[in-house]
Amino acid sequence: MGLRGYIAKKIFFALIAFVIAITVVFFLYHVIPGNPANIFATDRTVNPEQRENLLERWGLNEPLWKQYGIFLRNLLQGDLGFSYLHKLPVSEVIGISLPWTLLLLGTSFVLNAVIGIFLGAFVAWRRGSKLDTGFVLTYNFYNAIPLFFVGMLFIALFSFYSRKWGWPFYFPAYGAQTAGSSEWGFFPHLVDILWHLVLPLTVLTIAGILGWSWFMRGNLINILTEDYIKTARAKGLNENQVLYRHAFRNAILPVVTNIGMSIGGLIGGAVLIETVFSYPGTGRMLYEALIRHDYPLVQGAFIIISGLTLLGLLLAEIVYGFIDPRIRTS
Amino acid sequence: MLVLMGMSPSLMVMGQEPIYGGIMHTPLSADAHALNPFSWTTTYEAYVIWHIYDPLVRLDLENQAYACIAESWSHSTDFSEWTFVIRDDVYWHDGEKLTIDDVFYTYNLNWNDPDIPRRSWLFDEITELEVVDNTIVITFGWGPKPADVLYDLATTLIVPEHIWADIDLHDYANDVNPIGSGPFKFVEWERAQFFRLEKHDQYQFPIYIDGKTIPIISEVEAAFYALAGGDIEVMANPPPELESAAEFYNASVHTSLNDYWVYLGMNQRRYPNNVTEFRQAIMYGIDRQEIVDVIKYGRGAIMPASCNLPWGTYYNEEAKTYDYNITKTIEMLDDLGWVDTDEDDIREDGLGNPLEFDVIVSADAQESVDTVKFIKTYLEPAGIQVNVVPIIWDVLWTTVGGTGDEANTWDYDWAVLGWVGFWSDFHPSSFYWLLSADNWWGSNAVNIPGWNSTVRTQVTDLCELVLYETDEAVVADLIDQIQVLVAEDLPYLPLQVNGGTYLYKTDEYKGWQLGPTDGPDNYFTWLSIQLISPPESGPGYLALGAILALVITVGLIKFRRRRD
Amino acid sequence: MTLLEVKNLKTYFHTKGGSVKAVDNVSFKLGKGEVLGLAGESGCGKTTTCLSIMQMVDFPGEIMEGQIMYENAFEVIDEDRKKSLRDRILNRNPGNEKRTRNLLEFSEAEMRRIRGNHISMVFQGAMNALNPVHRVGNQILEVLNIHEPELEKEDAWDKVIDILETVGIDSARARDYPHQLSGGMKQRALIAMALVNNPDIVIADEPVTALDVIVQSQVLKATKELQRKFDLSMIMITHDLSVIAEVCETLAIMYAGKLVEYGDLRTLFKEPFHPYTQALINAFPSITGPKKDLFDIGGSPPDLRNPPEGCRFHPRCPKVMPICSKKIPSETPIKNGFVACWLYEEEEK
Repeated sequence: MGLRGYIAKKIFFALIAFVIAITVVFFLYHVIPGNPANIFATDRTVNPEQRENLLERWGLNEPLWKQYGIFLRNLLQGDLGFSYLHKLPVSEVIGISLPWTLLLLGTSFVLNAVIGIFLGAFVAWRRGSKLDTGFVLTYNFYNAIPLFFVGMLFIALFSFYSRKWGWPFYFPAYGAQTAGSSEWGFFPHLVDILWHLVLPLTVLTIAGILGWSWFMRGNLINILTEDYIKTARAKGLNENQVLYRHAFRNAILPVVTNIGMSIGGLIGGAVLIETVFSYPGTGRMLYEALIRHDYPLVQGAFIIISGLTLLGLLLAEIVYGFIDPRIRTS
Repeated sequence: MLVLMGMSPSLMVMGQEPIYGGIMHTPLSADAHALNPFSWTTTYEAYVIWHIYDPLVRLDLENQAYACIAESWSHSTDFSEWTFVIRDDVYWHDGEKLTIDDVFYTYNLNWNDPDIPRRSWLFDEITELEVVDNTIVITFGWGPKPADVLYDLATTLIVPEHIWADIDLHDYANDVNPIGSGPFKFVEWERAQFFRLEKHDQYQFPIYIDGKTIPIISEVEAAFYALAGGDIEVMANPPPELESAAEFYNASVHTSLNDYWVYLGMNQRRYPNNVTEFRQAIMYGIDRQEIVDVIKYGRGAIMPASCNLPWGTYYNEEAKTYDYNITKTIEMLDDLGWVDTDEDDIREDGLGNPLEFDVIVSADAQESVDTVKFIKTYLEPAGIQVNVVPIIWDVLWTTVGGTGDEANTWDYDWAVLGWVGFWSDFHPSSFYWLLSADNWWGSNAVNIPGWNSTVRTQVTDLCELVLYETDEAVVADLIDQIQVLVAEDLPYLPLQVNGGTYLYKTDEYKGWQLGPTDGPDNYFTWLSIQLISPPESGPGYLALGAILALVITVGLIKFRRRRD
Repeated sequence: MTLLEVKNLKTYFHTKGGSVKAVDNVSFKLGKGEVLGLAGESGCGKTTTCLSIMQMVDFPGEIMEGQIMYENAFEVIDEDRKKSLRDRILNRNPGNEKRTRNLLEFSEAEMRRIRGNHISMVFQGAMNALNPVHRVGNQILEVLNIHEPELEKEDAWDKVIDILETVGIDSARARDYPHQLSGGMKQRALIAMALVNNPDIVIADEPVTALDVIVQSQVLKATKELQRKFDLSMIMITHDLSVIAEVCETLAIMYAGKLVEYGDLRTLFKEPFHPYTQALINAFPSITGPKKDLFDIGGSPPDLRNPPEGCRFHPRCPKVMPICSKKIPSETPIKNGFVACWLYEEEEK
C-alpha cells in the first residue's frame, strides 16, 4: 500500500474515532450527576416552577436519545449549541478565549518543541557531562515544584518585589492586557499584550522546554545505542554528522507523534497557569463550564478538542509516513 | 390616608471632605457571563449590573432604604396600595431622560412574565399597576410589610423602555452595551479580562471617583501582589496569611459580616435526630467560637441558634444561645439514658444503636470539611462518633432534597450547608421562607427534612402572621416569639455567619466611611470610597523595552564581532 | 608482509565496581590478504579488540595502553603534522616516508580518515546496523561522500551500484529501505558499504550470526570471493568455529580478555594446543570428521573486574596445575603461532 492508501486509511479511522469520541462525550456528560438548574438552586428567588421552565427552554427535560439526535443534527449543521452560562453560541464563547490561548500556548508550544528538541539532543549527546547532570537536576527540581507555585513566585518577584526593590522593570501580575489599552493605538497595544505575555509564557516555556528536551534526550540516548550509529561512526562520519544525519531523524519520530497529540491539548489550555496569571484562555473558560455544568459549552469544547487531537494525530501520522519509510512502504 | 416615608441617602454627609477623581481598580475573582438585570446568576454579574442599573430604592451602608430613582414613597394605612414618586433629574447613560414610563414598563414586564428569573415574589401579589403623573401606584391583594416591599420589590432594577421595548427578554440580549441609569456607565467588557466603567456625569448623587476598572483576577495571591504593587487599590478576601502583613504594603484591613451563614443540618426523618434534647446536646457540644477563630481566621461570627442574624432591629437576645459546654452535652445524653453499654466509647441511643453519624459536606469547600473535622473532635469525648464524608456539591444537594426530586430518600445523617440572601435583620418575611412548612424552601422536602414537631406548626403559624401583619410592634413581637421557639427546638443547628475582609491601599484611599454598625457590605460600598490622590499611572514596560533593546543591540554587536 | 600489528593492547571499562579488563595485553599481526579469525565465547573481548582498532570504544571504555601499528597510516595524517613528521622521518631515514604509524597516537580527525576508508567494519546486518530511515544506496554513498568529496555525484552513484552488484544485490534495490531487504541482503549491503571505498582492512563482527544456515553459507561464500578478488585483509569475529573454518587462514582464540592461542587454521584445528582451544573444537560438531562425543566446557567465564590469578582459564581447565593459579603463562611459540599455557612452558620452568 502506498502513501495515498496509508493516508486514506488513517483518515477513515480518524473519522470513526471522532464519531465515537463525540458520542462518549455526549453520554458521559449526561449520566454523571449534576443538573444545570443548580445554577439557580440555592437562590430563593428562583422557585421550582421557574426552574422547570428553564429546563424546558434548554431542552433538558427531553429523553436522552432525543437530546442525542438533536445534538447530532445540530453538529452536522456546524452548530455546537448555545452556552447557557454565557448566553452566547458555544462557538462564539470559544472564539473569545481561543486567540488568547493560541497566543500563550501556541507561542509556548513552538518555543518548547523547537528549543526542547535541540536542547534534548544537545544534552543527550553530552550524556554524563556536567551539562547533562545539570540538566537532569534542573528537570527534576522544576518538576518537583507545582507549576502554580512557580507562577506565584514569578508574580511576587517580578510584579511586586521588582517594584519594591526599585528594579528598572516589572511585569503585570494578572491579565492579558491593560484595561483600555486597545485605545492606545496598534503598536502600544501590541507592546502591552506582549508585556503581559512575558510571565505566563516564561513559566510555561521553562516547564515545556524541560519536558520536551527530557523526552528528546531519552529518545536520543536510546537511539545512540543502536547498531546503525556504530555503523555510521565506522564509516568515518564526524560526531555532528552522526547526530544529525543518523540519530536525530530516528529520535524525532516519537516526538512527531507527541506534537500531534499535543495540538488538541492546546485548547484544553493550561488551567493552572491561566488561573494563576488570570489569563483569559480556554482552559479557565472550560474549567468553569465544567464546574458550572454548562453542558453545551463543555460538549462543544470537547468536540473541538477531540477533533483537533485526532486531526493532530492524523497529521502526525501523515508526517510520520513521510519521514519514516517503514510506514510508507509496508 | 397615605404615610410619607421618603428619605435621602445618609452616607453622603458623613466623614471628611472627599477628594474627587481617579480611576479605582478593584478586582473580581471570576467573570460575569451576561449583564442582564433580569437573569443574572452570580454575585460577579450582580456586582457589575448594580453599578450600571438603579432601582427605585437602594440600601445604604446600614441597610436602610433610601430613595434612588424614586424621590419618595408612601403607602395606604393597610399597606395594600403603594405609591412611588419619581425624581425629575434622572438620566439614562445615553442621555435620554428617565421617565415614569420606563418604571412602568419595567414593573409591567415583571408583573406579566413569571419566567423572569430575577423577579420578586411580590409581583405575584400585585393586582393593579398604574401611572399617575410622575408616580407609579402599585396595588396588592393584601398589605405586605414595608420591609418586603422596599427591599424586595422596590429594588427591582429599572431598564430603559426605549432600548428594551424591541427586545425579546428570553433571548437574554442587551449584554453587549448595557444602558442604565446607575452611577457608572458601561465602557468596555473584555470577557474574562476586565470591565471598564466610567462615572455617570448626570447621576443624581455625587460620585467621588472618575471611573472603575474591574479586572478579573482569578488567583487571590496574585490579586494581593497586584494590590501590594499598586495595580489595584481595593480587594476582597485577601489570603489570611498575607492579611496580617497588610500594613507593610500600605494597605488597611476592613472587615464586615456577610449574610451567608452555615449550619449543621440533622436529618430529622431519622431517629435519633428527631429528638429535640439530642439536637440541643449536640449544639452545646460544638465550640462555634473556635470554628470562627481557627477555620474562618476570625472572619465571621457565631450564628445565633435562633437563625436570626445577630444585628438589626429584629434580633432577640433572649433566645437560647447554646454557649459551648461539653459537660452539659454529656449530662443531657446521660439524662436521655443514652450511655455506652458495650464499652466501645460510643454511646447507644434509645434503640440501642451506636451514636455514629456520617456528615456529608461539599468536598469543594475546604472550610466546611474542616468544620466537620472540628465537630468530630468536639463530640468524641461525649461518646459520639462523627465520620467526615466529603462529596461533590451536586450529590450533596440532591441528597438533602435541594433538587425537589420526588424519589428522594434523604439518605444521610447530618450535613453541613449554608444559607445566603436572608436579610433577616431587617427583612421580617425571611422567616417565612426559612421556616414555614407552607413554603417549599422551609418545607419537609429540603434543608430541614422531618421537622414535624408541634413547634413547627407553631412557627409556621407565626410566620404566616408576620407575613400579613402590618403593625410593626406586633411583627417584632411575633419574630421574637419565633426566635425563642426556633432556638429551643433547633430545626437548624446554626454554626457561623461568614465575614468578608477588604484590603485597600491607604496611600491612595482613605477607605470607606462606614456607619456605626458592623453590618453587611452591600452593593453601594464603592460610592463611599474616597480617593486621597489619583493613582500613579505609567507601566514599567517602557523601561523594560529600553533595557531589552539595549541587551539585543549589545548582543547583536558582540555576535557580529565574533563572526568577523 | 604485516599490514596491521596490535601490540600489548589493553582496553578497560571503568565501572563503579572496578575496571573491567575487557582486553588485556593482546598482541597479533595481520598480513596483507590475510583473513584472521578471532574466536571466543561471548564477552571475551573480541569485539572490544576490534573497536579498539577503530578507536570506537564507547564510554566508559578506555584504551589504556598498547600500540596499533598500521602500515598505510601516513597519508591520513593532518597536513601540518605530516610535514613535520616527514621532515623528521626523511632526515633520519631518507626515502622511507610511507612508514607504519601507531593509530593510537592519531587525533580523532585523523582516525575519521582511517574509518571507512582504510579500515572498515561490518556489523551484524540482521540487527539494526542499517539506518531504517535512509535508503540503502544512500547509506553506501555516504561513505564516498565523506572520503571522496571530489567524486562526481553520478560517478559515486555508479560506484555504489557496482559494489552492490558485486556483492550480489540487484541495482534496483539501491533505492530500497533496509526493512525491504531480507537479512542476507542487508548483510550483503553492509559488506558493500565496507568495501565501497577499497579499504585495506575489513573487520567483520559476527557478520552472519543471525542469519539462517543457507544464507550464512551464501554470504560467507560471497565474502570469501570478494576477499580474494580485492586481496583484502580481514578480521572475522565470531563465536562460531564453522564460520572461521570456511573463510579464515589464521585463527586467534581469545579467552577472558587474553589471546590464549594463535596460529595457522589447519594446524590449530588438527592439533589444538591450549586446553581451551581443545575444548572449543570438541564442543563443535564436525560433519566430515570422525564422529565423537560433544564436549561441554564446565563453569562460566570469569568476572573481568576481578580475573583469577595466573592463567585465567585455570578454574575451568581440565589439565590445571599448581603453577596455573600463580603465574600468568607467557606466549610460547608453536608452529606458525603461539600458545599461552603452562603445559608447553615446562622446559622453561
